[in-house]
Amino acid sequence: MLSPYLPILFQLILAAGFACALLVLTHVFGPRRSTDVKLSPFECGVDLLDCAHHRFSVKFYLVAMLFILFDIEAIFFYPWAVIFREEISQGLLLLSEMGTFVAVLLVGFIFIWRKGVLEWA
Amino acid sequence: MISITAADLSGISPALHLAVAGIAIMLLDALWPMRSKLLSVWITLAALGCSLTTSLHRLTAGVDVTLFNGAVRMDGYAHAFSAIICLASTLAVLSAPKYLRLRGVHLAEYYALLLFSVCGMVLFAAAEELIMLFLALETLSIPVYCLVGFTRTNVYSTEASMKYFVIGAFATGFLVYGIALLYGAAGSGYLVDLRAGAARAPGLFYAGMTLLLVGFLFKIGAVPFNMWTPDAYEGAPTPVTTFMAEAVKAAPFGGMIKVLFVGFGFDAAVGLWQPALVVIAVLTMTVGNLTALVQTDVKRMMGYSSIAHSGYILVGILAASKLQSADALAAVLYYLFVYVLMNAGAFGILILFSHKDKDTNAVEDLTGLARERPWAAALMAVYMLSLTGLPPLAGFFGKFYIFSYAVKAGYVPLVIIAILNSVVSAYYYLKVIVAMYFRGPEDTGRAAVFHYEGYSVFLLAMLWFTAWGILYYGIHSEPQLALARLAASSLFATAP
Amino acid sequence: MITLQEYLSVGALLFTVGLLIVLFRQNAISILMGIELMLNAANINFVAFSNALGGLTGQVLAIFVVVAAAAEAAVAIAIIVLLYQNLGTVDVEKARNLNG
Repeated sequence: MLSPYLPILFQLILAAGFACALLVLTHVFGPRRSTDVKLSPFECGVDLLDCAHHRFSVKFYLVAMLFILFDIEAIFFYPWAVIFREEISQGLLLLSEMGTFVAVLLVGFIFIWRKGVLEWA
Repeated sequence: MISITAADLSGISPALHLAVAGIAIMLLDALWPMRSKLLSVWITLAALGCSLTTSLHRLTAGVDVTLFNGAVRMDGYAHAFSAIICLASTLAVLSAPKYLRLRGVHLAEYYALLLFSVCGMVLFAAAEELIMLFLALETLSIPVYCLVGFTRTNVYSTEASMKYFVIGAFATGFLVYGIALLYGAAGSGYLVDLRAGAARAPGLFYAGMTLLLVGFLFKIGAVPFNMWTPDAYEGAPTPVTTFMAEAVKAAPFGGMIKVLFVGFGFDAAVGLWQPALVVIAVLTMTVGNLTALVQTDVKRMMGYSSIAHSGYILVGILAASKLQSADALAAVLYYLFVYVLMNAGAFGILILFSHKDKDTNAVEDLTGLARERPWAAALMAVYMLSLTGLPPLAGFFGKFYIFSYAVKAGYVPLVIIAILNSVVSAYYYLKVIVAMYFRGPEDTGRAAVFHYEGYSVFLLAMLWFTAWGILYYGIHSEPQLALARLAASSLFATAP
Repeated sequence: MITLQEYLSVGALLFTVGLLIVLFRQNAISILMGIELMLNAANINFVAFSNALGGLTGQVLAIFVVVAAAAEAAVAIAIIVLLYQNLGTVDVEKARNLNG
């Protein structure tokens, strides 16, 4: 049942094997002459300003949370849109139902907005 | 085409009141933050009152409607649970303002979250379809995770919230996976169709049934799925513990009983879950009571005691399913009603003597209460004696009805274990009474102060009402039982 | 053609992986991921059954589960941030102030 995919599997193994072999070969035979410049993360360009491992402001998590919520709610629009096309004769009723949903979401939005979650200062 | 009709909306109005009130509170708090706190208490009480009266009215009128294309059924059973839960939540709301003000977190969000949770609870007992059940469960649990961590700077509260979330979400995982398997077996999410699934794909069906029941047992805090209860009870702000101990405790039984009786009510499935629940009931009663014996913190002790009471309720459910009698199930509903009163009162006393910088949670903190505050001590004594099951208090009648139906159903060994457990439980409930009445500052070496900080009429009203209820509804249990019978018989009308 | 059995195996595998993560990891964020895996395992089953049985019910159920999982994740992130602020760690094993 999976037999049509067998060549792809072989190809994957071949590709992975080739890549690994090259890595191993260069590691074994390649000359190693390390200097300070070579060991720095970026050989050219602007000097590093700071380390990347910093704490993020909690604001990022807040925005992430809100994003997840409002983003996921959009999932309900898709089935609604499909039905809307089929049941266009009931369009107004369907529109009002989605309007209620959006209004509830909007209350949530007004809430976070007035609570100052969206202010960055 | 399927659309929401006006009949649907008016049918679920007990739940709808609560959701609309919750949204209104959020809007009010966003647009008019200065006045929103006290106003939201009143809005919450009004919404809960509306739902309570609507549910009671429809319960007595025998309203039985199937709504939303069969996903929700507001029958006597759903209305009875709605009434119990609204009553429980009202009691929890009455106890909240004082404590939250002392902690400096008296915010409108508290009431909005609580209302959303209660809305989920009402729908949970009304769900006739697995995904509705899941959605209602999520609606009821997610706000409670937030409420447990409501005192944000408090380490205990945050930790309790984390633990409660992890276990709660874990349980949800089991439940959803179980639902997926049941749907696969039956090809439909409706509870009445599950029976066909057992015949078609028994492997899938029984795996799904097991997982679903494990999810439920987590939620009601049955052994061995009880580890969250004491931590969450102890760490949560006391009014939230009150809410958890009565409303959040009663609600999962609403869904569980319905699924057991309607979805898994046919012989082949009953033969599997009945013996399993017998073992779990015994474990739950025994482990809960024995662990409660050694606790020194009243909130934690009540956590273990609530585990034990889950065990008693399971005995009642088993009796009702064996006898197939609405009277036996009515005893379970009556027990839940009484349990709500007792718990609300007991936690209310702890809130009454909470100070700005310190909670009054340890048994030791109540030492000598009777000398300084005789009325408060008397109220606490009523709650504790009722929890023990001493006649003529309501707690006694609750246990008496459940146990007598269990004997009738032939669960004699189970009842003997339950009665032994009640005797054991007397030790830790009476420990509180001994501390209040027979010990003084000379025994603990420090003077306890019992002054009311942040006087609250709401709280006092709640305490007197619950104490009156325990004294009155014990002897005059007939009207309550009649309502419960009405509710129970509507469930049996749909069961196979 | 991938059979129903294979989908269900993947679902069961994911569920087990999620279960083990929740049981044995101490990092709160890992636990959250484990829970998400458990819910998504159920989603795979829903969609697979929906495909096998015909009809849209299973897919609609999956959508609801996705949304509920997102709501849970948002609350979980909030609790984890609080835990970090109050305890300075997201290790649930180190959160042992409640005597359990």
